[in-house]
Amino acid sequence: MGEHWTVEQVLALAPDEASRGAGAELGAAGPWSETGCGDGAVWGLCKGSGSVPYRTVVDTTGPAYSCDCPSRKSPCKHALGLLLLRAADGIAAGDSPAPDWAARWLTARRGRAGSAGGRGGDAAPGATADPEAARRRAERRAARITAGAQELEERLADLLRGGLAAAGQAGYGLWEETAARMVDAQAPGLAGRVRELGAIPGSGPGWPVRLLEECALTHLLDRAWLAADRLPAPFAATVRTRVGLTAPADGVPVRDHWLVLAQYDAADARLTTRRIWLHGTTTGRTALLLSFGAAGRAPQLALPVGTLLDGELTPHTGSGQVRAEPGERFVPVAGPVAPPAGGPVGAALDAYGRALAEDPWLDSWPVTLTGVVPAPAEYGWQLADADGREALPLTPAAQSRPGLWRLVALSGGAPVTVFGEVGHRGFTPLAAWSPETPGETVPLI
Amino acid sequence: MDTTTAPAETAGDTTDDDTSRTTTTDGGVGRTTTTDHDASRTTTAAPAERAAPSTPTRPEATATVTTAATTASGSARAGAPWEELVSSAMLGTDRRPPAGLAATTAARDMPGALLGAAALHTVRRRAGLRPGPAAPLPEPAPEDPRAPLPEAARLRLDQLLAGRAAPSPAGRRGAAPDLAELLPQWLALANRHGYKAPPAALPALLDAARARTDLRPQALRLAGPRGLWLARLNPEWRFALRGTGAGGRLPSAQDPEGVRALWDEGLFAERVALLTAVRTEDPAAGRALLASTWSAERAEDRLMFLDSLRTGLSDADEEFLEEALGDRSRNVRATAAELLSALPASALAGRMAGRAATCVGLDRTAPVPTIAVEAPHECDAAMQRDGLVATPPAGRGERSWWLGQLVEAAPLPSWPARFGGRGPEEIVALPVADDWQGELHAAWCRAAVRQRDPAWSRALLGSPAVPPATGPGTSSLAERAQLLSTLPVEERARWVASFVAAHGLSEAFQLLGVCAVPWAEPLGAAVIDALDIAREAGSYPWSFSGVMGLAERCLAPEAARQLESLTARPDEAEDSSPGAGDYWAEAFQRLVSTLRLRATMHAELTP
Repeated sequence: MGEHWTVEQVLALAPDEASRGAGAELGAAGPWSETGCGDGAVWGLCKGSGSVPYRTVVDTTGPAYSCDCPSRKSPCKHALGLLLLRAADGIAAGDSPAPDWAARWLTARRGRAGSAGGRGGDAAPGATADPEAARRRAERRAARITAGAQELEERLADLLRGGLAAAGQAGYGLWEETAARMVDAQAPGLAGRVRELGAIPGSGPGWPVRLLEECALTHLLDRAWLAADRLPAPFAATVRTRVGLTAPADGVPVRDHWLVLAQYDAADARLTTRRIWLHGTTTGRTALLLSFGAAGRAPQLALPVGTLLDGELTPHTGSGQVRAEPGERFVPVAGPVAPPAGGPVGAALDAYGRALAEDPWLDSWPVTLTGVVPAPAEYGWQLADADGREALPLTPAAQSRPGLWRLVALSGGAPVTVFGEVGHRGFTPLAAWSPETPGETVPLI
Repeated sequence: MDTTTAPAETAGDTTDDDTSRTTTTDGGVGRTTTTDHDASRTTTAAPAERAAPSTPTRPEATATVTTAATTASGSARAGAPWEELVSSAMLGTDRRPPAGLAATTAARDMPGALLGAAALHTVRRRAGLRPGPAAPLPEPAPEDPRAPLPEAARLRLDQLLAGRAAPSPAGRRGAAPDLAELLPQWLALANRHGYKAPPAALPALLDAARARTDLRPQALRLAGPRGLWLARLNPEWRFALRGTGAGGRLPSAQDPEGVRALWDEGLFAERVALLTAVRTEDPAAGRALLASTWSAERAEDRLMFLDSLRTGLSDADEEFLEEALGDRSRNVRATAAELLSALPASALAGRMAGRAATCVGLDRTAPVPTIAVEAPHECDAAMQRDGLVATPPAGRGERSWWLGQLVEAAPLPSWPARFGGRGPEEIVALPVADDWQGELHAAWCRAAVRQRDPAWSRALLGSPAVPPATGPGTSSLAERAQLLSTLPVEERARWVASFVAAHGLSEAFQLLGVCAVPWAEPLGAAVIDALDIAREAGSYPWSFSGVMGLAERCLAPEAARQLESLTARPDEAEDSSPGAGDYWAEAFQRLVSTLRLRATMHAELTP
């Protein structure tokens, strides 16, 4: 059965460390009864502290979870426990169909998925109801963003007149207030950039240069937005995305067997953003899935690293875009797994440079390095070509992650293949493959 | 709208431009066209200069990614050099307008012009980044010829190591196995099969070994040469290099020069490791090595070196030890005496036998054969040289203190002759006059443990079914546990099984701890029966949590079948503690699931 996940893969779905532990506790037959599986679903009753057991059902094709426990985490510990029990062969695939309560949810869910026809469709009803009103709304928002961009330009100009040294002393409050103004202007992309500007003066030696660079790129974005009607369409789409307007996923869907290369979360006070990198094994495409959760909560979408998934991805528009949306059916399949094709470190930087031509605001670009050796240099770890000539430094953040040591251990001083993001701050390794076990994707984050 | 320096226009134009030229130029050149028309012209003419200006004033440029080309014509074409833009931006365009822009730009537009020029510089620098020179590559890790773990076992190891990091929430033990407790067993088993650790698991394995010293020997063995290679690169794992001397590269005993060099110059831990290694291969060479520097060693080092002779102690060591009896340090003397007394054929053992014989013997005047004890009246210099401590601890009489030490150090095989050819059992059964029985039997227990004498241990343990306080020999559980450890494993299991059957589990914990894992029958069955009895008696399972934990780790996995019926929630008996039934069911579930998991672990590791 292709939908059989390993323990490792199930644990990767856990929204946090506590759920992982709690789920592992429930991954034994003890508290479970009336378990079963089949047709891409697993179900069972889990005895909790109350008198009525919780009804837990997982649609492994989504994956999607349903449990009537009060936990707001998704998947909850019961869903994790159920999947772990399944992974440990604790649930036999029987002939008995799903019980009514499970079948109802599964049918409702799959019916929804079938009729909606992808996520792009979800927004459709509102838009089609009154296209004229939608257009007016979009115009009003664009006008607000324009006003916001103009205001930001003025603030940047004031800043430059007075000097960045003064801004360094002004502290974070100045930027917070400007960021709040950009939120009011409905330009979350600008607001995010402004907040990052505020953090730069406290980021250590060399901050004036970094602050000038980022101010300059923010200025570039402002000006690009203000002149968006004169830009070529794909580039204008990129500018809109950067400013914070959601670009529709309306590219041509691509069906492939997708290898999950990496999944990691970045959280700020407001939002948890999950990034999932996929590699199409026949098309060779690299795609990025984004999933969001409210602060402190795990995003809904979770795909275990190293799994091969059969399904469709719909790319977003805009030049230099790798982001895509998954179709509703994304099913684990068995198949040979091999790392993406890659090149030496120089080629990785070339790829980043080319991508900047499409989107000058890119901080990094997904690349695969082949035949590289992790080596300790004076200032930290780097990935060097096996011929020992050229090397890429790891980013400061990647230097302190435990994944670094997994990478070093996997290499043992010999060449490995590494997937990651390369940018002006250096290289962030995300997954690696050793020549001895090329079918095994080792997550580094 | 600004004219030539307006970045939006620049960006727009050049993207347009780019799409039209990517087909004709290679990527490296094509991408520089994004930033500036002027720059693109110069860089197409000279591809080697396509990179952005690199300047020492930009730390990240030098610290992270260095650029191939240095500042060249390109920087001037962007309107103003980067350094000038930075200093102007720092001080403010009002105070210091950038010279390169001042001629063409009104003061009002200066900030925008500066930012436009800076954007150009920034994107161009990023687009033109080149790799830096590589640092010397690390020496590859030595080959590890051992077999890799089977797939399932590899995943299991990840799970066990992750379970170590995530303790169960709120400290409550549910029905699921305690993974951290299974890690030592898993490691031992994997090593017995001769597997090597999967490279990606090495960091977690080393972290586990750092946190738990009891895991270190097995974890480091599994980690093998690559583990040591890795540990040398991370100061947090330096512990891994300690036990193994020079990072696991001890010279062989056949390499006298290497041995001598390390012995003379090595750190203390390395020297202990070296001594042990040499001694294992060639005991005489080990002794010679130690003797060569003996008098020059510090007292605490002499003590540790002497202690390392405990492993593989033989009669050949006697001469060296006898000499150490004259050592300056009292602790060294005591240790030497203790080691000698464990050699029944040694001269010291003979001297002790003689002294003990004058103190303990048969009282032939009594109506039944009885042991008479006459404790020593003095502790002379010769006795002290043989390791006797003259001053008793507070609260003990000196004569009984001396007697205890004498008997403990006297070789046990000398006693049957003293008691008319009686064997250990008969001797232990003899009545002892004048309340000396406790003192005498306790000393024999210590002697039996020190001299690893199963016959005497058996005699002193007595019958497991007899209540501990009434039989001969010792009633202390700690002493019994030590005595048991000198018996063969099957006999140990049989003895403890009878003990559990007779007395239940409440006192069995220490005794169970010395039994070999997995518990041989009939011990497993005895423990399960006793747990069942405790449950029916209505007590709470946490009164037995120590035994439960041991059972999870030590019961043979096949016992799961026998336990299955106990995992059901029983009907609450009227006289039992409220809710106990549920807790017992949960405890038995955990026991069963742990046993199942162990059986699975075994199967996964079996090739």
